[in-house]
Amino acid sequence: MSKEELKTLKPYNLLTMKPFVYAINIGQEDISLAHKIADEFMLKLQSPVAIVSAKIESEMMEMSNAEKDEFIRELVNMDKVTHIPTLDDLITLAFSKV
Amino acid sequence: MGIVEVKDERVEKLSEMSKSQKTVFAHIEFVDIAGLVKGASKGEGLGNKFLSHIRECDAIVQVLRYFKDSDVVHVEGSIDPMRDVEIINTELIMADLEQVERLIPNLEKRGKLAANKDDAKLAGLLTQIKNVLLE
Repeated sequence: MSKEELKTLKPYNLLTMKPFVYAINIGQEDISLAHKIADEFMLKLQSPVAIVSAKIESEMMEMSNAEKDEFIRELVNMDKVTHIPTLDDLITLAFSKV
Repeated sequence: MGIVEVKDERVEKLSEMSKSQKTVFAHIEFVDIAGLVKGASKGEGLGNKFLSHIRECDAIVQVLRYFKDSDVVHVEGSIDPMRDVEIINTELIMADLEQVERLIPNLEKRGKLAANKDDAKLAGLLTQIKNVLLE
């Protein structure tokens, strides 16, 4: 579709024409597998994927940044995990798409 | 609905470098809508009326359930994220189809007049989209 055509269609706000981002809501026990899961779904969905854990996020909601750090450190074995997926990943990913 | 800051390290660096008194991050607004169920376009569950709440948005985030927890019920009774994507995408296609089908007849009618050439063009374009959605 041409740029011109896309512009004419904009006011009709078709949902299927919008950029899609997927957030995979994983459990606490899957945290160490987050990377693997993200790769798997990126391949399957051919779309950007963010890994989040709504349960962990809800538990951390009232915490300060230092408390969050400690909480996560206790939760997972940091030797094995290089990056903890958080809501900030989703926010950054979503922002990159708009 | 929630408005959040996009924590971009570059903004912090720039702020430091320029000795800004105030650091303002970009904002993004997330709108959460009720979950779609299979057949929502035919009125199942809460239906698909609330999709109108996200028509104006710039991008769609689909949250897929991957976690297993028998205390949290899944409408389909099992955990299968790829199946869920299919269901949601089908419902989104149906919602768009509904909208396109509603628009086309009027545009075609108006497009018949010479002064409304653009409407005729748009009707053609929407018909193309309709055919893609139907596939």
